[in-house]
Amino acid sequence: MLFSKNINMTKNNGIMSFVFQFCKYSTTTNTITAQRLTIKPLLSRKTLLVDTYKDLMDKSPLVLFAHYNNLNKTENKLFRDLIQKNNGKLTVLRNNLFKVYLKNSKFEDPCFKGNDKKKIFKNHPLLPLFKGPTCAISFTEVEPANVKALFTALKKHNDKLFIIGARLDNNEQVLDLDKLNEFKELPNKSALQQQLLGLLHILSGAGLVNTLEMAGTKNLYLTLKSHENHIKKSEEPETKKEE
Amino acid sequence: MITKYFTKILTRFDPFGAEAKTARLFLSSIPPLQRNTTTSIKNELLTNNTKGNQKPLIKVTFKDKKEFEYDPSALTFKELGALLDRHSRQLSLKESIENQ
Repeated sequence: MLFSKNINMTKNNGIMSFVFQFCKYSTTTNTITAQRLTIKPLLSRKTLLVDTYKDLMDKSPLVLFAHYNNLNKTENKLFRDLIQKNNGKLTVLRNNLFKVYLKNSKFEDPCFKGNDKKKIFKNHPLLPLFKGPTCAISFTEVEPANVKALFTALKKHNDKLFIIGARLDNNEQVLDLDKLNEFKELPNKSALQQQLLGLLHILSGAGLVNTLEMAGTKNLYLTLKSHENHIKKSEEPETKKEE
Repeated sequence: MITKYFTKILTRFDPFGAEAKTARLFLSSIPPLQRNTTTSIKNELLTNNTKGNQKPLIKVTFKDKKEFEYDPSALTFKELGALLDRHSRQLSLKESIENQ
């Protein structure tokens, strides 16, 4: 439509108006691309997928990676339900695009055209997992009990979908199966925090003070104390004035 | 790859290793219906702890109980397919003669 209008303009008003129209058009496209300069077109499927993978990896602290053998419709539903029961979400990945994301995961915008190619994360520890059909199971909370339940449930369907690795907390901490087996036996985060609190409670009183002193923090204590005194002194005259 | 005559499959591989590609592509090439009916698949994953004791392996048993063992780290998926197809084609030829 726009183009045909332009041609009409040239017929009526000569070449200049066409050039003017063209410039106007090209400047509007420039403003669109100036917002975000991506390697593939901004509204393309590839850009969208890399963005969703970034979102998936950033928002979920625990992501398991699994191999799946060509599942039929009922199996697909079965596994999706099973994973959902354990508070996870199954996402089938496109290997090459996920690899692109992993290599660019250190950048703020992995799709950005101007990313420094020298800083690309070429040997990301997760990269060897993306050979063959792979899917991600993402969890919004780190619950080892959920992972354990999922493992036992998947064991029944041994050959169809099995977990091959995981990523915990940040991008570089990768769990292989040995570590995953250890991980799933752990109590959950709040229980671990309670254990730590209990430990500190036993140590507290004379014990904790002594250990802190032995660590050479007495100076810190003194400076803090003097700072506290100083604050008290500066506060006192103000309160007197108010009175 | 002709998968029709496989009755048993055993794969053993480390998912982080170089052999993973061949083994995983091989596993995913078995059609779902066949997996549920005629072919039984067993799959073992190697980890750093178990790597010392066992080596990566793909073991296929055919309809005529002939067994083939291959090391997936030394073969690509295409090469493996070609090797297995040699026996599959023999079996299909035999079958077609018997049916006549």
